[in-house]
Amino acid sequence: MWRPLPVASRLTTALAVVGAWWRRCRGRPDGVALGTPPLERPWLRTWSHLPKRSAGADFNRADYAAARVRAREVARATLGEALWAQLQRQGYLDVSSRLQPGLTYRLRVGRRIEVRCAPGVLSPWPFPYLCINPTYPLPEEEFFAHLYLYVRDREAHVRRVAAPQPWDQALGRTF
Amino acid sequence: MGRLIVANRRGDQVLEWPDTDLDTEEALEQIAMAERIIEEARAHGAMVSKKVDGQHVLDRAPFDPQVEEYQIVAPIAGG
Repeated sequence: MWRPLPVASRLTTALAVVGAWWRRCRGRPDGVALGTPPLERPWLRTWSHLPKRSAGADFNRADYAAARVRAREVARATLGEALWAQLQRQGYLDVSSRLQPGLTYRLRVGRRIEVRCAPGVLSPWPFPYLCINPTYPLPEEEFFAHLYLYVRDREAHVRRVAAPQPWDQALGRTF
Repeated sequence: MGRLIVANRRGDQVLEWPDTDLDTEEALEQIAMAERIIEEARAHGAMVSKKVDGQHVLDRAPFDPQVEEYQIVAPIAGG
């Protein structure tokens, strides 16, 4: 059976109850059934129509809150305790390039990647930030963990798809 | 208990299967579903990670029901 992670499950249920009560008070039908929503396989859908930093018109405030709580749990489980603690302590994780010694990718939650070069090392990009988004909407902490895996384990792929940018900015496909 | 985390806009949804008694009907169904989801996600450009020594690593190997935890990792695009 599908089930959310334990802590998230309790919060999701609480948020769903409050949300259903609120919608009933406002005379609107329940948009969120109590219990577990059906499995979403986002790779089967097109998301390009969505506004930036949105999960879709069918998402309400409780859905966003529950998603962010679950995402935090998953990001922590994905990175492991040591990296998670480091991220909480310093606000970013640095990943050294395996393809170009002296080049470091600085990853921050919900932001573009910052490319940092040791003295004498030339960046392959004309700008210091790399914009990389998921192809479907994700909570930003969850995507941070995904991006960390990509940069560490599939650096060549990251370098192929990255869009270099002159300034820092929040990612558009995360929320 | 093995599990597959499907990271999506809801944060995640999880499919679990037993790591012992793999021959029960329910276990076989859950394992088949997990394998199908992984194949489908990979076919659509997603990657898959598995938990190794307490943290996830991206993985290209075929599905193995003995793995403790898998996760569907979203495809990425520039811009």
